[in-house]
Amino acid sequence: MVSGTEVAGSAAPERITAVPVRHPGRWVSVAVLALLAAMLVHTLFSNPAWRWGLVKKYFTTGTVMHGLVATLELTALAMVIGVVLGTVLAVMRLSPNPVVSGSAWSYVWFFRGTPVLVQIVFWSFIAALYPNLSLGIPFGHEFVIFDSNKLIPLFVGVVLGLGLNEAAYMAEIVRAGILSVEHGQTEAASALGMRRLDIMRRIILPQAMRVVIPPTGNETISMLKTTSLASVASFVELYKATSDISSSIFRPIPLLMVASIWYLIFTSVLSVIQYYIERHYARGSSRELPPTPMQKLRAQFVQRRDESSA
Amino acid sequence: MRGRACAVLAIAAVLASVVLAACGTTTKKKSTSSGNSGSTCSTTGGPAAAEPKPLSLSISPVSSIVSQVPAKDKGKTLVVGSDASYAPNEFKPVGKETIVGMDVDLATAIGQTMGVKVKFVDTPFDSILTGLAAHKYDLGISSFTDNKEREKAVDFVTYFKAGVSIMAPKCNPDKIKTQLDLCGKKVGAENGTVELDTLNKADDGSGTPTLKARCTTAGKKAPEAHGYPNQTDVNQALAAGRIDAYLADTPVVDYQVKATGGEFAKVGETTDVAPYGIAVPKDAGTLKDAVLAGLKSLISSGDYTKVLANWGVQSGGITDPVLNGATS
Repeated sequence: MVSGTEVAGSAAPERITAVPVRHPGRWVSVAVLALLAAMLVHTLFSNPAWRWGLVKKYFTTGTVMHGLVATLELTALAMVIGVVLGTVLAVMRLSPNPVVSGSAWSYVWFFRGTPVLVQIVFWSFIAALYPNLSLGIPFGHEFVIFDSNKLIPLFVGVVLGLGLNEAAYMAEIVRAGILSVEHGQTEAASALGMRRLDIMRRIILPQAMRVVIPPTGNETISMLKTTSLASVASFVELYKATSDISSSIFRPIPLLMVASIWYLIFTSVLSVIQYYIERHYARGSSRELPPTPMQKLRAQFVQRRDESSA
Repeated sequence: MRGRACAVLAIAAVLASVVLAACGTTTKKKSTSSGNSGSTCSTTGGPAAAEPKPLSLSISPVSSIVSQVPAKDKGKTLVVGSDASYAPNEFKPVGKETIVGMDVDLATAIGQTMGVKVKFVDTPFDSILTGLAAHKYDLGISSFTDNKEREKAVDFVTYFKAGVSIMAPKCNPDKIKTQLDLCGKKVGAENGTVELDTLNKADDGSGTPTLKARCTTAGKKAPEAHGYPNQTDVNQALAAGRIDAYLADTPVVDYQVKATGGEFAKVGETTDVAPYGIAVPKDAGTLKDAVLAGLKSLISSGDYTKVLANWGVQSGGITDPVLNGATS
């Protein structure tokens, strides 16, 4: 290795001064966004027309609190109806019996095909169509007769309007989830002698959950805001509670802010819940669960400490 | 296995029959304990009365009035915010998208004296005053009761007077005779109206006790207030039995009784007679003076009475319009 010694003897090459790639575009975009953010914050506090004083004053007023509770109740009940009925419809839709699957198809066709606003108004004015509802033999004797407005009070009417509409959407979401489970799972279960409904309940649906959960979370967040449509039927939920106040003090903007802030708070809470539920159902498919925000934060600190000690 | 399947089928069949039966009843009358049976009251309405046609008056501009119109509004089209669900004052005739009514004819006539055109824009009642503040509209004409609370936000030119009446389903199943009979009942009104305030609020800032306050004083439950976006929604809610009665301005209640062919009934007394006002933004300069002068000239020429008579509301006519004439 003569040549090798020769090289070692000659002057060593200069150390390369490595210059990181410049990203001027990044700095420009950060500067522009920071400026826009500063302008937004400035106008929020410098324009007196926002009237933050009124926002604060009415933020936790009794009627707004009642409206908020009503909004949460509506969201929860409508989603329960939506998920349960939607699952039933999805299973029906995939049934080999053409009458059963046809009925499920017709349900989705109708309830997904008409506006939810129309459905809410329809259910709240149901007594204009059927003043009384009864239990009895079809086309024959009626045993018990109910006054429709007593049987379906306004709250129930609104819940039905929202829930039955949601069921149509959930049916499609659950159906997509069921179809995402490999057919081999069904075949293996049948080979073990399981009945169709058992296969659905114990094999398919748990695996479908992974696909079903993210859009369901989406639907729940969407439902929280869709409940504001109930105001047209004179049902007092969060939006109506705030607009009732603004129509008597003639200041719409601060009260819209009150409603928006509450909606944002609860959609944020729902997003967090959705994240953890998704993580729970990811167990079956990914080797390692995605880290929680807390774990990410901890990992960052550990990394820093390692760097500084090195 | 076989037995279980049969049981499931049987349950399904029973459930299906219950549901079907539930859909079967359509025509049974509400059997309330009000004891209507034997009375001559029939719940089917008669034929609906014909709708009056808008008047088309042609009035020439009056120079003394035109001179009071602010420079920026001269010769322009004034945009008027109005909730077209309040027949006969402002409404859309069936199948038409143009707003007609007593308020429209009157505003058009006032505009003619001022040398301007007016254009009515349909909007929910509770957003008219806020729309005025945001300069979406030049005027708000929508059967506004002129009260002190609203005078804080806008100026009013009074042009009519009307009270509040109670509307109940025909035959008055709840035997309502006075407003106090509404305590504890489901009562509707349009959002943003003085009627909804009296049902909703313990104190509406007028000095006179609200119905809610009077119910509490009488040791009764407060009425359950149902506020709807439009008066037409309130009518539907009463027809569907969602509310037991509603409160609205007397001319509207009278008109609705006729328009539905007697499906509803006006019950009890007329209360809270107060002036109607044309709402003018506080920063609109001399616009309010021009409107007031225009209205006065219509009253002296007799055109005002013609408009009112055309819509059958001449009993609410006034002779001395003023600026900001709130009595409560």
